[in-house]
Amino acid sequence: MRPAARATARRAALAGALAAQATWAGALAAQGAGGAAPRAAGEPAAADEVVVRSAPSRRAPTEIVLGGADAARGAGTQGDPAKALQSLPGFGRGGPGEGELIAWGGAPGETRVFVDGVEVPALYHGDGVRSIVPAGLVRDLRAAPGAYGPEYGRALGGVVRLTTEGPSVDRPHLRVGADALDGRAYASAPLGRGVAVAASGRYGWVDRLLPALGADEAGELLVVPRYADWQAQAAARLRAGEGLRATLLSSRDEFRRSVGGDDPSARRGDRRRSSFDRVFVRYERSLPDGASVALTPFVGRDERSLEASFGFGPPSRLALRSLRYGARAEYAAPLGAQAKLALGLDASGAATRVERAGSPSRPPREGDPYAFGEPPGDAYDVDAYRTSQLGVAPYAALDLALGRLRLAPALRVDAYLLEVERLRPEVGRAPPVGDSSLVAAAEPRLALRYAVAGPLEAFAAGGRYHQPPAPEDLGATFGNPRLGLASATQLAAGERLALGDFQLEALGFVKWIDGLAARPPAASPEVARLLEPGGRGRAYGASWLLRRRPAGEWFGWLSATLSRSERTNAPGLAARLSDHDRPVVVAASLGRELGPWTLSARARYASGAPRTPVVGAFVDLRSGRHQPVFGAPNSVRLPPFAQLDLRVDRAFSLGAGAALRLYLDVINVTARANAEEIVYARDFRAKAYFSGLPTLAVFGAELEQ
Amino acid sequence: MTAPAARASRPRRVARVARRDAPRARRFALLGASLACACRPAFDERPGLVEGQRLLAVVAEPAEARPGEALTLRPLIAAPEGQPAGELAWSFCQSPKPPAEDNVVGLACLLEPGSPLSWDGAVARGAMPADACVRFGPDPPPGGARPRDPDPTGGFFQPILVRAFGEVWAHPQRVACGLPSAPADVARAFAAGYRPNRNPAPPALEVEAGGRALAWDALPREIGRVTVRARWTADDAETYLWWDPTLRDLRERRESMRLSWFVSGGRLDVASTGRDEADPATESVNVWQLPEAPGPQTLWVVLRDARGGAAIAQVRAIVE
Repeated sequence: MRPAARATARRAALAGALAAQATWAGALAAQGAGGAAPRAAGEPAAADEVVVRSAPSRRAPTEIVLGGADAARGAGTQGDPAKALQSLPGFGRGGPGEGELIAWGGAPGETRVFVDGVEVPALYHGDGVRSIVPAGLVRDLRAAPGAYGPEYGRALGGVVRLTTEGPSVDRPHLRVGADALDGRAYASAPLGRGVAVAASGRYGWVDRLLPALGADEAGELLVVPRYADWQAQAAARLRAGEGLRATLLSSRDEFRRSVGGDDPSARRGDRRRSSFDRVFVRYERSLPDGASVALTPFVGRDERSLEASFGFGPPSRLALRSLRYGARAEYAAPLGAQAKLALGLDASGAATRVERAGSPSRPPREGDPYAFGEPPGDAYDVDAYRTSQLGVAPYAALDLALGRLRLAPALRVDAYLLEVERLRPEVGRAPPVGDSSLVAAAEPRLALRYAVAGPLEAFAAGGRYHQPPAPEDLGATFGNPRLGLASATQLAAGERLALGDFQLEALGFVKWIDGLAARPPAASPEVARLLEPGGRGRAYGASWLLRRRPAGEWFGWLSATLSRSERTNAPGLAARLSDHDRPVVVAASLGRELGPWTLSARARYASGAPRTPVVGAFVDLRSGRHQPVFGAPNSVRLPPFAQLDLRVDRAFSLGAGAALRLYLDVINVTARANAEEIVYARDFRAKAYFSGLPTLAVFGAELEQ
Repeated sequence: MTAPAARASRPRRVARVARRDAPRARRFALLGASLACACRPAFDERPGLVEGQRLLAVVAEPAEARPGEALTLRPLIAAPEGQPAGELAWSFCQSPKPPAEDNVVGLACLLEPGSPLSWDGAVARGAMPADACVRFGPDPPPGGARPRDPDPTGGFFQPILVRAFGEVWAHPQRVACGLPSAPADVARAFAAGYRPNRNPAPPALEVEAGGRALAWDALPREIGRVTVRARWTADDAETYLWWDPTLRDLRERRESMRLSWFVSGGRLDVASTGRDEADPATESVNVWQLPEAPGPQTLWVVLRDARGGAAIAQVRAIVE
């Protein structure tokens, strides 16, 4: 073959591979958009479309995209697309409600959640009961367990993004539904002249069902809050290819539990509240030359409080109130036929008031040994302070097509202004002395794809990532006000093979983390250094995803992740397993549409979480209680988790554009008693397992007009 | 502490676990939800039952000692009839525990020999270590280390270990220290107004059934369940000055009272009862399911105040 012909063939192969990817992405977007025609990245919106394109033009090779409707029809999700994360590769199984996001063995606080590019504090209500955005609003779900792109940062782990569906300009839309978990409603209406509005809300009642069913003990293991959320959107088409959308997101959770009894010294109370609001406006314009501009300013507030009491002692309390603000902006333009440049800015700030009282041991941190249900230590201290964090990160990303190779180098520079009100605990009447520091972190990122042959694509991605300390760690009494940025280096490489309706992806990953806030081993740490930035982490593994194209009767995927995650609390200490180490996670989610029926099943297997064993005990004569002596940290493991879920969905056409959908979602149909915690006898000489919910069957109905 | 090796050699108690809610494992409800409970295992344990030699409490005089002050420690050892009291080894802990450790003493304290106290077979004697307020109290340790955190009553404790019968008991002995982190005028007011803790008097024990008082030496076993009432005086629940770390000022509080119950036979409803500091009542009750076999039994009640003071009441009962 002559060189020119070979070049032509290579270009054709590359085009084929990219076309295959585009077809997949388009199909996924179509699922999320309720069947609307997929639009290629960067393509201007149709003239009659108000929907602002939220999806970025670039996609990290490690990112998995699920259409909202596609994800929601899987078993075990109760119609909630975000719950599909539980069976995606790279994500480990969290606690009993599985609300924790464990990305590549990382701690949940190391993964950030974004809705339309705006960070929100949690993906789920409570311990994973529901996601904070109702299913009907989710256009697609994008999850990168690591090695994500330059548009995002401040997360050592992964990034999970929900893109919302805007209100329809064609016709009014009404949807009401209810099931055992909650009731919900959504309404949208076109106002003419390219303007449409929508409002939705949801109210949970499952917290009242549990005690009524005699399952109140579940509250000891699983946080099932009273929850509510509501959303409002207004969208306007300004000109062709130019749109504006304003969004309000609000979420409230409240959880109360008390274990009474005749013994007042054993009475326990647990109260948790969390809420957030976000208001943001997204402006987007596609220019005739192929360039695009997007701007998303936002403002909001977060609140979170935990209060736990045990016996006669005063309650332990942690309360955080934050004002959140920021903006995201990006300008992207083609540089000739083979390149595209994006320049952006990601700014995010938080002014937080922290109040804390109780034992320094509560709430437990990653790696802390603890015996489930045991009371906190009798140390009691208090602290209250303000802290402020502002991160401003300009970035530049280039997307180059070089023959078979598509190269995307990027540089993000995250500059942080970190402020704390007090550097040392309050002594006497000395005025507080605070600190303000400016820290900059360069974060090079690189993604590449190589079209090996036909439908086979190899890819790699990696970069540097940083994360500021959590506000509750910056206290002079319970933490360390001088904590700086923790950093991570992440690398991933793999291949993706598209074969007809199937896609097979294999990926290997490794990440190293430095500067984690961790408890120092010293019995007498220095003042205001109850945490030290000496923690380190390492995780590595491989994952596989075999996925059927979301079209036709069959849908679903098979995923597997093998990994190991280790942590070290301080230099010189031996590495131990991370609390979030899950060596084996396998999930299969399969479904079939049979006319108006949709049947789906999900099977999962996951290694049990590591635990620190109790190897002895002694008696505290003041309380009269036995106290545990722990063995090597995280040296034993809970038994493996296995679960089968089924879902049946039936749609009825009621005429005049109305439809009724009935569904039954049965979790753990085999009623397997999965061990979720180790419970010890009073003297720690016997132990048994606290098992999770054996069966949960959720029957629901949804009416749509 | 039971050492890991000792644990390994000891026949491990079989975890007799009952699924408390097994009968209601399937229920159906409105909206078509069937929810089964998450199951917390329940161990077959009899609260407060003394089955072998056991240290139930230590009563210290004074209940709150200054550094260097002489201490007398009197143990209450429960043992089935005829068993000797045995030897007890007493020692002051020297190593503080890491601040984020829940236990009352750290592993280092359990493993070290400690500073011994004398033991004459009935009473242990020693002097509160002179550096107790530095090692275990609020005085700043050398080298800029973090002072210890107080307990919820503002108290600090020098741990004393008792080793006997193959087990380890930790007795946190309250130590009287100042308020170095408070403003100077508040610290002076605290030093002038704080009254060190005193042990409560032994509680009076009464037994009744169906509202009728019974005699301890004639408990008819056909009654089955009897109510045991422990009474103390209002003076036993002392008021004390407390440095409120939130308000950063002194406040007056009243001690909560807690009782630990032990029996040599039968079954108690709960192992402990008590009164919160806001509750002015001076009595507390427990229910004792009498053993089916007639014979002598012993009931012990340990009354503890919130600041670590203790008193012991013991009664010999005859079940007929």
